[in-house]
Amino acid sequence: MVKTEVALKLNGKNIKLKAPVWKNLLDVLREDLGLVGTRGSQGAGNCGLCLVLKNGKTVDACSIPFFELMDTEIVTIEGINLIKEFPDRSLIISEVLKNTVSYRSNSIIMAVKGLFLEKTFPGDDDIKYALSGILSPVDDSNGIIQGVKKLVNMRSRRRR
Amino acid sequence: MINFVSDIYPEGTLYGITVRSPISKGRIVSIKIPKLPKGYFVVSADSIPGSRTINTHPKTCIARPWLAEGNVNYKGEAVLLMAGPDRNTLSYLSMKVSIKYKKEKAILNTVNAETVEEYLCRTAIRRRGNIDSAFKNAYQIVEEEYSTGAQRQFHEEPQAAVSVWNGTRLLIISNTQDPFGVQLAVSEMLRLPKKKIRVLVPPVERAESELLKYAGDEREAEVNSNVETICFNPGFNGRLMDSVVVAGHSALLSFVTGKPVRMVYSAEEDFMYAAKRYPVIARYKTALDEGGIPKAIKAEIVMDAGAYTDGAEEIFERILTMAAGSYGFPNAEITGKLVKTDRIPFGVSVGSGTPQAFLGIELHSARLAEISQLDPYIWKKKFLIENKGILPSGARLPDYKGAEFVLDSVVEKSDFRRKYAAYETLKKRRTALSDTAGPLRGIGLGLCFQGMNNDKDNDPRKYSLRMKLARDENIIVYSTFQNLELMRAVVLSAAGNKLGLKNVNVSAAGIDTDTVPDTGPAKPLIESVLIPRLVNECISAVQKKRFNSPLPIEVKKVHRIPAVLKKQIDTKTATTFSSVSWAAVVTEVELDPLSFEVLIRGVWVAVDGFMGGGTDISAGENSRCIKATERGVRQDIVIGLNLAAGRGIKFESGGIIEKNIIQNRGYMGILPYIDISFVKNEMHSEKNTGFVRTGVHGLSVAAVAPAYVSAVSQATGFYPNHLPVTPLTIQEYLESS
Ligand code: FES
Ligand code: FES
Repeated sequence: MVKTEVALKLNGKNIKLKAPVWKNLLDVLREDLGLVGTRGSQGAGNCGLCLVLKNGKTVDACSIPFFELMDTEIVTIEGINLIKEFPDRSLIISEVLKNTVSYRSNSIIMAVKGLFLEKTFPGDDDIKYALSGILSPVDDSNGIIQGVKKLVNMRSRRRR
Repeated sequence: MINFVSDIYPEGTLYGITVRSPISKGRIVSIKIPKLPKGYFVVSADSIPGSRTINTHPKTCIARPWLAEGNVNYKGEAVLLMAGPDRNTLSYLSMKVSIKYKKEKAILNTVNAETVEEYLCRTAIRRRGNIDSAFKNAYQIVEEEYSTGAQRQFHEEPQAAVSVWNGTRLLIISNTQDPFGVQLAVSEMLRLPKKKIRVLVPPVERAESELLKYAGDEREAEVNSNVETICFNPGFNGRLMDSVVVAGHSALLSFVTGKPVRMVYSAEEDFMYAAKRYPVIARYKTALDEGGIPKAIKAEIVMDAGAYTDGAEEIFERILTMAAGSYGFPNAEITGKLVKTDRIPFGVSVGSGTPQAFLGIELHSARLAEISQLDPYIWKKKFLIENKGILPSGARLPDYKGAEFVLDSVVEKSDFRRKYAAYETLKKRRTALSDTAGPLRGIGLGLCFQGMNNDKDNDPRKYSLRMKLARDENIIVYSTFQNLELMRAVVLSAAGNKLGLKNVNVSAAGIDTDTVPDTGPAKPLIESVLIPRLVNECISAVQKKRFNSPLPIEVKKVHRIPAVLKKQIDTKTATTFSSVSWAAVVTEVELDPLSFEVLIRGVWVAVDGFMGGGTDISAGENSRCIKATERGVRQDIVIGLNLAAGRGIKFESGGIIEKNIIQNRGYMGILPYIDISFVKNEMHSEKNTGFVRTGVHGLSVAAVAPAYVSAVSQATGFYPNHLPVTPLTIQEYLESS
C-alpha cells in the first residue's frame, strides 16, 4: 500500500502523519487519530456533517485528500476552544443548540464558529448560507438561526 | 458522554460491507468469488448456522431472509457480506465478485401488484349498515382516489452496528429501537442462547466494557460536558427492521471471522435501501342525500409492503380502523388489500400508519364539505362520530369529545372561519391566476386521532422501569425507553413534587440487554404514555421506602393494565383503544404565481391528551415537560409537511436513485410560524383511562398534511390526488388547465 507522509498543524500541535494516499482527512481523523467528534456518512460529500477548519475556513473533511494537508492548519471540534475568538464552544452549545446534543451538533458548532471567524457581524443571509446543507429536516432551524442572531448581538454589545 | 455507534472503532476491527442485487427480481444462477487476500472474508446465506430468515414477526406473510439465496426479490437486496481491514481494498474486491442472475418479470408499483394473486398478502372487509340501499338511494355519489408515496425516515446517524464475538460471548452495539428484538433475531440466526448475546444502545454509560476499547471517550466527554439535556432518540425514526438487519449482518461477520466488525451504512446506502414509509392508495365513494348529508361510504385501502411484509400487517390493521376518519357515516364498507411489490421492504414511520389513513379521508371530507357548501369546520363538527364513539370500521373510541375541543381551539386561534370565507370569495372571483384579485391564499383544516390498542400495546409482560435513588440522592433509571428528554423531565418533576428533591441529577443507564429490563421496541407514542406512568409509580415506591431504608433505594415497576381498563376488559365494555388523543391543524399558505413555491404563512396546532405526571400541563405548570413535548409536536409538523410537500422518494426502474439524495434532504425551508396549544380534556384523566397522560408524539403528522394540501387547493383550484405536492406538480397542473 502506498503511504505518504505529510506535516501539518492539527489542533495546535505540529504533527507528522503517514497514511495511504487514497485516504481523506475525515477517515484519517476518525480511523487513525481517534478524533471521532468529526462525523461523516462515508458518502459522496454532500451530507454537510464533516466540517473542520482548514486555515481558518470551514471545509468538508471528506473532500480533502490526505496528501493535500501538507503545511496546513487544521482545527477539529476537539480543538475548537484553542481558537480564542468569540464565540466559544459552550456559548454555541447553550445559545444555538439550546443544550441539546444530536448527531449533527458538532457540525453545527463548527459551522457557527467558522461563520464568526469569517464575518464579525454576520447578517441573516450569511447565517442561512453558513447553515444551509447542515441542518437536518428535524432540526429546529428557526431556533438555531435565532440562536446565532443572539450571538451576533452579544458580540456587538461586547465590542461596544 | 455520548458515543454514537459509528464513532466506535474497536481495536483490530474489520469493516463490513453488503453486496447487493442489481436487479429487482430473479434467480441467482452462479456466484464467483475472486481469490481474496489474507484477512478478507466473504459470507453467504450458507454460513448461517441457524435460522436463515428473520423471525421478529412470526406471523408475517413473507418473512425476510438474512441474505438472499436462490432468488432475489428487490433491487438492493443483500446477497453476500464481505469484511476486511481496509475499506478501499474491500470495495475493490467487492467489484470483482461476479454474480449471475436470471431475470424475472418484476412488479414495481402498487397498482400493478393489486391485480396479481401472488402479490396479494392479505385482504380484509368491514361493514356496517346497509351499504347497497344507501347507494341506490343516493342523490349524488362522490368518488375520489388519493395516494401517498414512500417517505424517507429522518435519522441523523445512518444505520450502523459494531459486533464483537470473542469466542464465548457476542457484543452488539447498535442504534436500534429494539435491542431485545436484535438479541432474539441474532440468537436464532447464530443458534446462540440469548444470554450469550449482549446488545448495547449508545449513549453508553459503561463505555469501557471487557470486550471493547472505545476511541475518543475523553474528548467526547469534554465536548459534551456543558450539556444539560440529552435529546438523543436514535430509535425514533426507522430503527426497527433495518437495525436488526445491520446488527445481524455485523454479528454474522464477526462470528465467522472472529474479529470485531463495524458495519456502517453510508448516507447513500441508507437513502436507497433503508425502509421508507409504506405507500398507500385510498379510494373513496360517498353517497350524499339531497341535503349533502353523507349517508354511506365505501373506502378501499391498498397498502404496499414492498418485498417482505414483516410488521406490515399491524399497520395495515391500524389504517383500516381509521380509514373513514373521525366521521359517523351510518353505512360503511371498508375494504383493504395488503400487497407486496418487488421493491425495498417498506416500514413503520412516525405515526404508524395514521398519516396514510387520515390524509385521504381528510381531503375527501374537505371535498364533501365544499360540495355541500359548508365551511370544513362546520362540516366536521356536524358529522363527527357520535353514538358512543363507534367508528365506521366498527372500532370503538374511549373519547370522541376531544375532537371538538381541538377543532374549536385551533379554529379560533387561527381565525380559520373568517380567512376561509375570504379566500373562498377570492377564489370564486378569480378566473385565471393572472388576473389576481389579491394574493393566492388558502387555508386548510385537518383532524386526526391516534390511540394505543387496548390489547397489544398494553401487554402486561412488557414495559418495565427500574429506578435507583443513589447515595448522593441522584436518580438513575434503567429501561429501554429512548425518549430521555421526556424521561428526564418527568423524573425531575415527580422527584420535585413527591420527594422534595429539587434539581437532582437524573441519568439514564445505558441501554444494555445485560442490565435493563425488556421494555419492548421503543415507540414514541407508547413511551409518551408509559414513561410518566412508570416514573410516577417508581417515585411513589421510592417515597414509601425512603424513611425506613438507607440509600441507595432501588425499585422496579412493571406496567400493568390500569385497573379501570382491566375492569372494562373483564366486563367486555372495553374500547378498541385504551386512550386516544386528538389533533387538529390549520395551515395557511400563499402561492407565488411565478415560481409556484408555496409560502407557509402559519401552522396552528391543537392537541389534547397532554396531561402529565399528576400535574395539569395545559395549565402551564411544568414548563420543562411542555418544552419537551412541544419539540416533539414541532418535529411532527416538519415530518407532516415533508410528507405533503417534500420532494418525495422517486423509484426509477425499481430502485431509488442515489443522486436524488441531495434533493431529498427533506423539508429544508425555514420553519414557518407554528402555534401549539394543549387543550385540556377531562376524559383523559387518570380516573377515566388509568393513564396520567395520553400520547402526543407522532400525532400531528396526520393532520398537518391534509391541512396543507387543502390550503394549496383553495389557493390554486388544484385538487391533487397524489402526495407530495411540489411546486412542479402545481405548475404542471396550472399550465395544463
Ligand atoms: S461526510 Fe458528508 S459531507 Fe463529508
Ligand atoms: S410531569 Fe411532565 S410530562 Fe409529566
